[in-house]
Amino acid sequence: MGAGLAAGGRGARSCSPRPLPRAGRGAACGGEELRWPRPGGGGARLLLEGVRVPAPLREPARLAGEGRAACEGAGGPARSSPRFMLGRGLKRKLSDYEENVAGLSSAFDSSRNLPYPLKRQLVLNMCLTKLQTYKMLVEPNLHRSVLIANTVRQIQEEMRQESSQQPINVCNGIAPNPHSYPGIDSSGISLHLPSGSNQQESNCCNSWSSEGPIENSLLMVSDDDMSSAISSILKDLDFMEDISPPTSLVPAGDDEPKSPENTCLKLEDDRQDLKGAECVFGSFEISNSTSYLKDLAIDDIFEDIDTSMYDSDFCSPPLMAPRPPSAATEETLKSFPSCNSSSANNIPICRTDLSELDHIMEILVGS
Amino acid sequence: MEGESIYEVDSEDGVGADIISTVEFNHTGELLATGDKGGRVVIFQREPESKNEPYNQGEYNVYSTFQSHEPEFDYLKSLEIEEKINKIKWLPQQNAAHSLLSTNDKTIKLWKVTERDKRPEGYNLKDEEGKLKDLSTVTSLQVPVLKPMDLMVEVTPRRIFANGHTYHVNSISVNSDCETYMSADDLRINLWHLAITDRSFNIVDIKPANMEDLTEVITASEFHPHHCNLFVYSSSKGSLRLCDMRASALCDKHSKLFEEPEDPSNRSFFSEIISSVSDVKFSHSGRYMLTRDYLTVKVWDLNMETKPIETYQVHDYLRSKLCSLYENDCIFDKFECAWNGSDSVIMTGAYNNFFRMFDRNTKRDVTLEASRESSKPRAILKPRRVCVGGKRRKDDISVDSLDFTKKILHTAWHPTENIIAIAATNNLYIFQDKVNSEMH
Repeated sequence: MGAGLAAGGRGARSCSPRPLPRAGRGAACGGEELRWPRPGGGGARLLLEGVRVPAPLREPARLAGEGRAACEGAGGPARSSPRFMLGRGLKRKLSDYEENVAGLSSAFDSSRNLPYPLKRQLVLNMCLTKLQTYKMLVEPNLHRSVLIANTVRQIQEEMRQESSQQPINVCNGIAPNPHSYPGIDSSGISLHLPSGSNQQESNCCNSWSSEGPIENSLLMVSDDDMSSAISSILKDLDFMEDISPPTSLVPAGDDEPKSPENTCLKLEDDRQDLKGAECVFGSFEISNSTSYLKDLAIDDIFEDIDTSMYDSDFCSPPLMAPRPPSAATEETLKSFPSCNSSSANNIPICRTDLSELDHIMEILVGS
Repeated sequence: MEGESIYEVDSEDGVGADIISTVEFNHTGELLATGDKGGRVVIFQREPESKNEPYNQGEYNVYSTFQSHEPEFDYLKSLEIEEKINKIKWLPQQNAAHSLLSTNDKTIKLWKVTERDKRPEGYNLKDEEGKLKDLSTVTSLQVPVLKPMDLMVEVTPRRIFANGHTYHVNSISVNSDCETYMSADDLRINLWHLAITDRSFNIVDIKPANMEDLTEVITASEFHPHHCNLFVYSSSKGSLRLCDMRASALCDKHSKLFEEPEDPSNRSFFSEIISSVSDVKFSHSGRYMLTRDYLTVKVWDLNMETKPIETYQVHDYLRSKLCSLYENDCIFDKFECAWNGSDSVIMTGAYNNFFRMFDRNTKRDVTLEASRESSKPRAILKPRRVCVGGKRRKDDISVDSLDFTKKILHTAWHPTENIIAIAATNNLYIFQDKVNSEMH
């Protein structure tokens, strides 16, 4: 006895809803036109990210660089950019990847014999895929991103602990932790670190069908990768807020300066956690397999870039001339919203300088 | 429970705009409102009880339908703002009109629902269509009279509370003072006066100075039913925080933190994800709180913070499927939960169009299915069983054949009677307890 709503339903009264307010939309909109075209991504940052990182774990250092640059360099319309077209190709790659993984997750659930490190790597790969495909969604879901990011953090922390427990034999036979994961048995697979330093070329997708050693090297490589992936995504969300228009609401305003007590309002239980996260992002720990970055923290790379020109006296002289200096400064600051960002690590990077940064990153990565 | 009515929202556009996204009874239970993904609100009204059939209590029929929210586009952020109705809350009725709040991700609106069944006729200066008469034709005075007409239900927007939220609004809750309400997004909770749209007060803010440090979000929030100064909010880490607005204007410091230590034997990669609280509801008495996480529902006593007093497994057989559920994103589904009128039974949804009920006194639980096949009008719902092990009884369904696209996220219980509303994608099912049911 389905009573169709459109038909008014059985026994429905005559309903006459008043014309509804069209919040900020043209009155001509109606029917199909109401649906906005769903863009392939939210803006420039998404596309850059997508193009340059074909698969998770593939080029960790580059991902780190891109993540940062992308989230700070966003701002201009990017749909006309040729990179956008390239971005479409990427999507296919990712879905191929997902197909590969599809069978594995059920293997995870059904098989108790899957070695613990493999399970962990599988989860980690899924996390990273999700974090990246998240960027293609129209509507970012903060709740979901935070949960995924925390899962990555947890795995990362676990891997770090393991590697510190076994400083000499870092990669040989990473033993599952039978105490915390009783349901998973260790079936004793011994893994060996390949001698070459080019393991990161190995795609994580392929690693699943291949033998143990490569997987194991990936365990190491991915550490930096996920830090940067998480931080770029979370920063991204911050950035989105920073460019939001100032609201007219005084008390509920978003970017009010907060008193110090407010900023550390995290509850005591979380403090420990927070500290952990801070050190995850604060020091980009470089694992032994990424040899060329061994002695370089990512932050240092960015410090090498001279950012003084973007500071308060950043100039475009013709623009500045007709205005009083103070106003002009404000103006330029406004045009670089990330300057106002509360994020301590933010370095304002002009879009035009992205290519330069790319270049630097390429040199550093050595590809 | 016996099947009462099934309403299907027409699916004309094929993009899921008709998927029901929230269900809410008003305070008397006479009205039931649903919101959908397409921004529409449908109000159902219970027909008066028939004298001929005393046991055949009134059915719910469509009362009014209106478009509450439209899709918008935030040009500065290059983001689409969906029109999907995240929550509806009825205000306590103050006069003949009914009022409700509806919200999408960003904007909360206050709607007034009024009835009109009479109209004045016989004006001196206006004709039937409302146009001014030629004054030379007016020769005598007459008194306008009210004539009965077909009942009209008018829904008018009264207030629009915009620009209060940067993140996605997940809950709204009307205060027991009937003057204020709060709205919670992922990181902040705002307090509004129902009459004032241009300002709100930020009462909780968990946004860290650096977003990289973000590890926790607010998932749901509700005012205490009797104490207007108390509210609770739940987090993605599985905790509940009870705040007292008398303590300070900004309730960053909770009064009570309800948290259960993690069971080490159940630890997995997904422990935190499945502990994330998707819904929190105060009991009608105000003594207890009900929370839903991915696999369980829990009852908390406001006087005990260390652990819940009751924990019920909703679908524990999924514990071995978490990796697949993570992969297909089901693990992020936000199931709601509901109390019955006397706080003795709780209800929550599951997959495969199943929903679960737990009797707190007898500790009995039942799995029921909302489907067109099994719930013919007046048919009695048969309990369903999901078989876990090897033994499979007749009519059992195996875990592997559960349909994870058919999920019951939104449910509502009539405030006093045993009538429940179940939203199963684009169908609304209303079930009514048989008189003298065996379960309640």
